[in-house]
Amino acid sequence: VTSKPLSAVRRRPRLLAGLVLALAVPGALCALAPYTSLQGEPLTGAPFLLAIVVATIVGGIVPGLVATAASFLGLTYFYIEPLHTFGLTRSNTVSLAVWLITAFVIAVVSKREARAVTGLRATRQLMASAFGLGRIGAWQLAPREGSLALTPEAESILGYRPGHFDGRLSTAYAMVHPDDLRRARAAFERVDRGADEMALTLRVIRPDGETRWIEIHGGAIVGSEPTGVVLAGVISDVTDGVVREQRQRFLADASKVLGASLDHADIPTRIATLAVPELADWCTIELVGPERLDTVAVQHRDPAKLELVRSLRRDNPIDPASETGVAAVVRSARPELYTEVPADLFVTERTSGSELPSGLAPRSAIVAPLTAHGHAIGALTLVAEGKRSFDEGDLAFAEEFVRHAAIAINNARLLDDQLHALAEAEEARARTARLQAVTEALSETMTSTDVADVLMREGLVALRAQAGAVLALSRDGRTFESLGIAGYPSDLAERWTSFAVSTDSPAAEAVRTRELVVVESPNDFVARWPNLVETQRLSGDCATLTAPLLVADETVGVLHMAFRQPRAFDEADRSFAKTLARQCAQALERARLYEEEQKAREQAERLAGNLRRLQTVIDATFLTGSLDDLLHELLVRLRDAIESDTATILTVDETGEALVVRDSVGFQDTIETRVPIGEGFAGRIAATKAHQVADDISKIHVVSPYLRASGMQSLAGVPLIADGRLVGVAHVGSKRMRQFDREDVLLLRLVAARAAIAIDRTQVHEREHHAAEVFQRSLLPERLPALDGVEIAARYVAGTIGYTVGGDWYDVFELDDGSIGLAVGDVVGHGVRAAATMGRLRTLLRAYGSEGFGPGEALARLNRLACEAGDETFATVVYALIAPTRTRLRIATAGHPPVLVRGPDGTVRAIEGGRSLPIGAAEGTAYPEIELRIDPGVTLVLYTDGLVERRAESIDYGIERLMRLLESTPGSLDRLADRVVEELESSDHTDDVALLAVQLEPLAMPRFSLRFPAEPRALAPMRSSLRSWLEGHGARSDEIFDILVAVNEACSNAIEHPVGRSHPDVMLDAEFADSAISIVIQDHGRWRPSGPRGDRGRGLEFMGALMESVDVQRSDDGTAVHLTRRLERNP
Amino acid sequence: VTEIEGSIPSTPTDTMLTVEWQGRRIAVVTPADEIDLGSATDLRRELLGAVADGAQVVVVDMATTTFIDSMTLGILLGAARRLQQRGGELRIACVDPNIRRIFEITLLDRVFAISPSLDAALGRSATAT
Repeated sequence: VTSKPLSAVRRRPRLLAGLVLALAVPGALCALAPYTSLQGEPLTGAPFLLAIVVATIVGGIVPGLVATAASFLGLTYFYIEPLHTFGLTRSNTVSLAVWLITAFVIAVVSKREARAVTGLRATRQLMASAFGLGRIGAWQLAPREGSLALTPEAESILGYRPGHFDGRLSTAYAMVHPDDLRRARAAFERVDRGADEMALTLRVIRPDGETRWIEIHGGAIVGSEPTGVVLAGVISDVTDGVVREQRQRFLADASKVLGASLDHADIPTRIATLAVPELADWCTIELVGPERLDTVAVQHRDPAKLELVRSLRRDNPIDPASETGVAAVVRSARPELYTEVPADLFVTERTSGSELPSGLAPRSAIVAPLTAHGHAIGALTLVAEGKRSFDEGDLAFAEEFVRHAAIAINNARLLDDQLHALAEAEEARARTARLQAVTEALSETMTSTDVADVLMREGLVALRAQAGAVLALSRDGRTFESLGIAGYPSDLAERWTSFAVSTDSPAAEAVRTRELVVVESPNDFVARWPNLVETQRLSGDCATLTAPLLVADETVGVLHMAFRQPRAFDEADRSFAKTLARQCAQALERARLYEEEQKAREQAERLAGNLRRLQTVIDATFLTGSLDDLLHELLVRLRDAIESDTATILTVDETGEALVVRDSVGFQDTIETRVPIGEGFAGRIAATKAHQVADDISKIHVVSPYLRASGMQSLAGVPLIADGRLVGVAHVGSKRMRQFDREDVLLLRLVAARAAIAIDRTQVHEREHHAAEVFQRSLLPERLPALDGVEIAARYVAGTIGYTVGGDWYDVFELDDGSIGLAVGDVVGHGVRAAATMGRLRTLLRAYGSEGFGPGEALARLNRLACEAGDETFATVVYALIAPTRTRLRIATAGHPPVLVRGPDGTVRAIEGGRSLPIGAAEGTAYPEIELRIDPGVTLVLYTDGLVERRAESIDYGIERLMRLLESTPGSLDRLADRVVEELESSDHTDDVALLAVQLEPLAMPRFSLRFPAEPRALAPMRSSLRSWLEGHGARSDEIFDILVAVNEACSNAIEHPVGRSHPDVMLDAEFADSAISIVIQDHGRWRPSGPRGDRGRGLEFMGALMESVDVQRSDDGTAVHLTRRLERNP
Repeated sequence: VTEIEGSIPSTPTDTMLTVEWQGRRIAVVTPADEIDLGSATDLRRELLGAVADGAQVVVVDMATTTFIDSMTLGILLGAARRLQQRGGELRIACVDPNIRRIFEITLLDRVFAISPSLDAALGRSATAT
């Protein structure tokens, strides 16, 4: 580095000296020319030539030319004759050219010589100036003799006291460092063979063992023949220079090596490798770590001992407070030189009792700080072993090296920091991108499940987590419900679909603290949640992040992310997890709103649909009239609508103090429970008349064992209130824990309102129905009269519409004459009013019958009354009058279906005669009768239209069916009646039905007694009755006719002729005895004597002609006619 | 079970009596099924009415009649007498053996021309005319 300025300084004196020589020598020769006599030209030129040569050698080419010029001028002027005049001739021009060429050649040759000489000289001067002239010695070597002569300086350089070197060449060679020996021999041999000079730098090991670098310069000296070639030269100790040079090179190399690496972890190792063995026998590098000084690199010249150094440092941690060594150096940032290693420099751990490892023998040490920006970032410890000992030079060099090393370390660190920053920036950018991806994906989610899916798909990837879960907190905050779960085995995932918040877990802690819960290792996890050891093992979670999902200060759930490797989460990780959780919460909230809206709409639609269906059900059920069907339908719909497991309706029982289950759906068995009002779930609802919701029935008192037994968890119930009156309770139950919400209760109320109305209406109906039925039953014959010759079966079947009673009735009554009145009627309308009308009609008909009016007259009177009453009474009636003998029957029908008659042979026919308009249809309607002769064993069937009327069916078809039924049902009347009712009830009959079946047997009546008004119209019934009686006694048709004519005459007289009647009635008494009929007709008047013109005059004739005896007895009381007639009995 | 022929009027006064003219000289009177005190006066009124209206022949169709009393006979006789006075005739269509027997007992079968049917009564009348 410093050689250039040195040589430049030295060149100017040489040039000057050369110029002085070039001018002075030729000048002096020319000045001496007049006084010297030079013989011959060659000789004359020699001194000049010498001057040129010397000037050139000393000063270089310029002084050489100057000398040549000066010599030419001097020679030509003073020594060559024709040239005295200085005229240039051709000969002297050639001469000049020869001189110039000669001078040039000399100059060039001498220049090369001069350069070599100058270099040698410069080196010597350099060494002399740097290290003192005293370190140069001279030597002379005679190779043939193997002798080496050294000056005392040379001896000193080689480590000998003056005069002590033995002068032998072999001794010198022995001192040469083995590595340099060959080079040394080669150099000497080269000179020996004729080389001009030699220059050699080599190491010698001095007798004291120290290795020195020496420089040898020399050349061959032509010596006397016996000694042969002699070499001579100088020797100097260049150790310091060489070492310095080596160190410079080392430092340059070190810079190169260190600069080649940017790996801050690698740099210390490279430093150590550079330092050993060049600078030290072993070394260590400590850097300031976060907590202590870390040994980051060690090196030993002997690889086998590397481990010793390492263990030395490991076993003896550096005490930061130590006054010596690395700690002190790092603190002070100043290097320390220990020419002798103090005892505590390396071995600080006294308690271990350990000494330095036997393989290590530190002698001296340098501890140099690695500084960056004025601060020590560490220290390099260099240790010399054996004979080597560090001095100040080593220290300075170590400082220089450490400076380089520190720069390298610092650069590497800076680079590392930058790379790290770059990586972080890249990671941050990537996270932002991932977060954006998540955000984007979340923005497209509609439902909370979608949100969970996105988080499990994108979110976990974004955080580089391997597993995770989105858990929603239930509304009551007691349970977690999994919305999405990923990366866990299915059985674990299954277990997490729902679990209690009360269980200690990261999720629970996140909810409780509302902070991110961070777990960085399995041990951490198990330590904090010992209860989840098994879970941790199964899940394989090593690190977890669990973030609460917060929506407007409300925790709605947690986002859980798990990693299969232990991890230290930095701030970026945590904030990323929080951001993810925030986004998740927002998306969930949005999804919740969407779902709620969706659910509300669905619910509203479903509600509307259900209400429509409910309404339909209600309407339909009211039409068909079955409350049970209605309630059942309501319960089914309710359960479907509310999505509960069960639905139950309880009604207040007749005591008014308890509820009984009216109907339920969803229970396995039919439940029958009596719940006292005020007790249990339903009882409290009844008592408070307010709805109740029980999320967990295990916490409340329930009466019904069915609820718990069926695994019910949650209940919601409302009271059934109609007209402000409690009629019952409706409740729904869920077998899974559930919170029935406002909408559920609303729906429950809607259903309850309808159920309440239905139940209430039904109860009203039932009450009315009951009253009407009681009333109606009271109007119907309590029991049928026991009548001779008449077997009767009667049935009344209430209708099914609207729980009302109809106006149907039947009646059986016996008249004074032994006739039997049969009546079946149907008042149009229902309810109590119809029943009342029916009762009135029935009573009236009975009265008319009793008064002796035949069926037609009785109905005509009934019709007149009904029309006059103007109360829109409208009824159909059939009235049949059975003669006392049971052999004849008169029927009149007012708008009623025909009487059916079953003969003894089983054939059934409908009696179509004697039919007219219904009662109340038209004023003045005539009611014809039909009279039937009844054979023994005939069955009559009277009924109301309810028996034969079916919806969507002709009444004729119904009558036909009834006839078929009668034909196919032999046996007793009761059996027949039962069968008819049975058939009826199996059908969809709606109206009420009255049925009267009568079987007649002829009756032998010994006596006949009839009292009738003394009016002409009473004659026909009288005859009819008497005819029946006579027929009963087997009278022949002609006999009957005769008797009737006779009796009629007598009666006509009684009606027509009595004067001053005191009693309007006529008494007719007949008796059958001894095959003879005897009849007495008694009135209470006096017969008018038969006048000449009277048609009645033939009466007595008639009687006399037709009867065997006629006896008329007149008294004050009236007239009595006695008639007798013997009957010719039929065989 | 046999339905007794004809239906009993719902009231005794409610006679089923009808009068039908066959041409200007022949009137067919159908009395109620049972002719007694209640219904006889109606019969008399109609018969006398028919005679007064100029009937030469009056046919009493008793095809459905099941009962008569003494007054009926008197009324028929009265009507027959009036018709005979003007050269007319009362005819009776009757199949009921009991009623015919009444006519026989009272010898009225000699007074009235009694036919087994209305056609016979009218036919005979027609041949007579």
